[in-house]
Amino acid sequence: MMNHVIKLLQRMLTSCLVLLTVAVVSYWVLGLISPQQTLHMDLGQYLGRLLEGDFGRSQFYHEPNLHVILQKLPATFELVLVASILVALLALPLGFYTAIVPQHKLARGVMAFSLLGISVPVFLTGSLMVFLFAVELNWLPAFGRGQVIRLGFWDSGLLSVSGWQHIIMPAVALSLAMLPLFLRLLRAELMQVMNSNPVRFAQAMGIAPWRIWLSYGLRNAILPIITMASLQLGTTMAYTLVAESLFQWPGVGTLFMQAIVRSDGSLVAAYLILVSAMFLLFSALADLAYGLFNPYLSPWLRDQGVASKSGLKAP
Amino acid sequence: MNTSRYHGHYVWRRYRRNQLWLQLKTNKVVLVSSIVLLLLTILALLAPWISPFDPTNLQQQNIMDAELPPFWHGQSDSRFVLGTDGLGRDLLSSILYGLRTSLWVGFWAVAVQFTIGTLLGLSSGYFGGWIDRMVMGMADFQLTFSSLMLAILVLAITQAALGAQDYHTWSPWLLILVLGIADWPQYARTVRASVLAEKHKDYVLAAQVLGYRSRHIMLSHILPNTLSPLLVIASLQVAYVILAEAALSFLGIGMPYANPSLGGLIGSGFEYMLSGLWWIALLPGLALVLLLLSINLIADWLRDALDPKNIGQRP
Amino acid sequence: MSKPLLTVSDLHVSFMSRWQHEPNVDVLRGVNLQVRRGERVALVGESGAGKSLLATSIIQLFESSAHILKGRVEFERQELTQLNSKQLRQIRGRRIGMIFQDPMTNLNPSLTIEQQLLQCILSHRNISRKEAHIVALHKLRQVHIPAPETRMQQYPHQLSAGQRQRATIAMALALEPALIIADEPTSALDVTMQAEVMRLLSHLCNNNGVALLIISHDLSLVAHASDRCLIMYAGQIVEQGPTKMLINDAQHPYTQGLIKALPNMSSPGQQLYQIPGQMPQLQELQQQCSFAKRCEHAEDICYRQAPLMAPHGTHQASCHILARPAELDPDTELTL
Repeated sequence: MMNHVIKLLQRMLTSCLVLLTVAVVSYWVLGLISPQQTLHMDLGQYLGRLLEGDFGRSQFYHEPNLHVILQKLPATFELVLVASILVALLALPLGFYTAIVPQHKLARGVMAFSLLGISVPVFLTGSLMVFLFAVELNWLPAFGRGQVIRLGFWDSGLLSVSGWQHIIMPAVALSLAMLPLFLRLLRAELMQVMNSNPVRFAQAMGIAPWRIWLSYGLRNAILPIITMASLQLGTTMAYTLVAESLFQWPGVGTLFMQAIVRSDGSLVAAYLILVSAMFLLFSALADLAYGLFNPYLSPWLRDQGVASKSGLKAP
Repeated sequence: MNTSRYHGHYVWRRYRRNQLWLQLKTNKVVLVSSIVLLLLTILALLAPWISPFDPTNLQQQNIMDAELPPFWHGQSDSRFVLGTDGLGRDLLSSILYGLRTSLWVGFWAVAVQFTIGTLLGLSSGYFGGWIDRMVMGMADFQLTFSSLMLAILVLAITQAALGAQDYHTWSPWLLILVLGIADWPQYARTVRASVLAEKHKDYVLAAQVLGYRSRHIMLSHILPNTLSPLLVIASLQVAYVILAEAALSFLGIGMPYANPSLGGLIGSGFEYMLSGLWWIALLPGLALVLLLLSINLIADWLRDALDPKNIGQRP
Repeated sequence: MSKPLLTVSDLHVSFMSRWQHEPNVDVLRGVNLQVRRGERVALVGESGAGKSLLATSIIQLFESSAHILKGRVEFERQELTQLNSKQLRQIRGRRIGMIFQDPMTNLNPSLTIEQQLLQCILSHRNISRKEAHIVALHKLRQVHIPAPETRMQQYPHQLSAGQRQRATIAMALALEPALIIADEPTSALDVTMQAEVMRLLSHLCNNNGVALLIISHDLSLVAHASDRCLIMYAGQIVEQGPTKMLINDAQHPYTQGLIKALPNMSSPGQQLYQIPGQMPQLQELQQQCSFAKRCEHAEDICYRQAPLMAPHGTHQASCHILARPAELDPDTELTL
């Protein structure tokens, strides 16, 4: 128990140190982009204000940065959510299929397609989709988020037909970019599991194949899936930013690129801090989930982060 | 004791015996990809001499030639085989120069990665202790955060700080530097793992007991052992760096507009796509996909062919 | 004498080579083998001789690159090479239990011992979970796992090495098979535990009338746990006979070398004997005795013709030299 507490404290300490570093960097960034803002405020004052929850005011929007970013967050969140669900729905069955019959023609076709998928960047898929479905066929809107319905503090685009029409293309483009990475990693992991000693023993005990796939494959693939998800966190963020800026999706990624063009240093600095905090939060959640699902290890009781458990990474 | 020594030689022998070459001849897909890659590389290298126009030369641009379609289209102009972009630049020349840029960035960024990763991995494995912990901690973080996201943040902020004009004089070098520095962990881990494996082998201990310097012997063993995995990582990374460069240029924070790059061409062509002029974006896109696909296919095959675990399975 | 339970005849198994221009590797080259009901048979040979491949070939559980060239595997009057996967599943686990090399890693880390045992039992028998639970508990008691009720609820990593080992044996025994194939069942255990587990396995099979095919590289380990012993070298059986006679009256030069290489407690401090050379590359052996290159007595004929299995002394061996009247001199008294 003591061990858990120490690990937890260690982790929180590292996270705080990372955040402090990011805060210092963001002060420096603020000074670089908008020098007049740091003229009357030294680093200590800046950090003090951050601690009070004051992330400054945007020079462009004339509103508190925190407010501006939180307003755009639902759009990004919903896009990532829909794309992730698409990826999960496709990657799991395809991963199993290609791992179980790797020599089958269709399985080879799927893998060849995934290699093509890795080689086609998200902005190209997106452009092609815009050209086909928005310009030529005129089926789907090319830009924006459509009608948004307000639920308390959350602007949801998933409650209206026009919202769904708008989210289809960016979500599909994003998921097509992420799918090959997940599919290939999942397949590699499943194939390793299927060639492992426990599976061989189960086969020798005459246990039915479907049962082996479920109780050995799926169970033992949960951990790698969590690992992969946390490893792809940064890549997902980057791809989302590219997809947002292509489809002019009004999320935080577009907000950031606009702030860069407008030289809105205060907003850029706030974005840096909030994105880092979110990143730390999600990787902590992934670590926690890893611990929960792993019978070998209790949560937090690990030397290093999830990433060290596997050398996997997107190519 | 014997096995380790044999293994070092074995790897060299394997290269010498040219089994790779034999396999290459029998594997049609990889053979075609190699030819395509070779062709694209030659075209890129010879771009200044074979391309009909110089896209960096403003004198050769004429707005009257803008938006001309490729040769198979009725209204094409015989001077511009693949048509022109919105500013009247010859698309074929731009694509050739863009290929050159992609390969140039890919090569140098990977060279930087390779050097940094190998050095950090060597020192991490060799010295151990706090150096090892620090380097590997950084590697974990970097691996999760993804080089593309880091590159987007760094390059975007630099652009906002310097202003677009100044930024673009430096951006090609900055691009190589950031993509090079950001993606070292995979190399470092591979090298570190084989240093650690080698460190505890009998001959190293024996050399230390006898008072010899084990460093030279170790290096002479580690290098051949890690060469195959490093080669695979590097080849995959070339594709990834090219993809990242294209994404950054697409976002407008990569290569300067005057210096054609495939991502930038797709980005600027996207606007014209909405009015039906698809070739301005899709022809450079096709070149990019061809380049990435051929590299990925070769890298994928290399990984299978050089993986000692795959014995018994014909790649 | 009872009818054989398992008969392997002239079994050839080959591995596909990695590169298309290289020939395939024949790992098993005409193996003949019989196991009778309730008999305990040991298969001994150095690593790489093809022992494990023989074990997996019997239950037709191959890696993707291995395949049977020719030969028959008859078990309980069924030709296993002709069965489809569903029929094979009826035999695997139910009629033939299997314990693989390094049994510590055979268990699924994400299931409790009970879940795994029940999975095995319920896959083959149409009984309720409650009944299966009782069977499982009984089996764990049989293999002397202390506090089986609590152990059942635990995950493999919570058990000690010896207990995991015993749990694996319990699973192999769970469906009361006619034959258990144990491939190096004690390789990952320490020496005192090895003998104990071997004794347990041997006793359990003896008491339940289960035939045991035990595969090991260690002649001394299986000496007391087997009735009959087969010596395997480079994909062939080179000598076979009742264990005691084979050890006391070894005929084949390879077997003699194996016995000479055992540490001898009666004269400690002596340097151990080593059979010179290494196992040959399997591609090289076509028409010659596979042991010829390492044999001290090899003659011309050994390089020209493969020897056949024939009775020599108290049992059978395949060696050209033995067929001659000229004697090998057994310079030492071979006792164990």
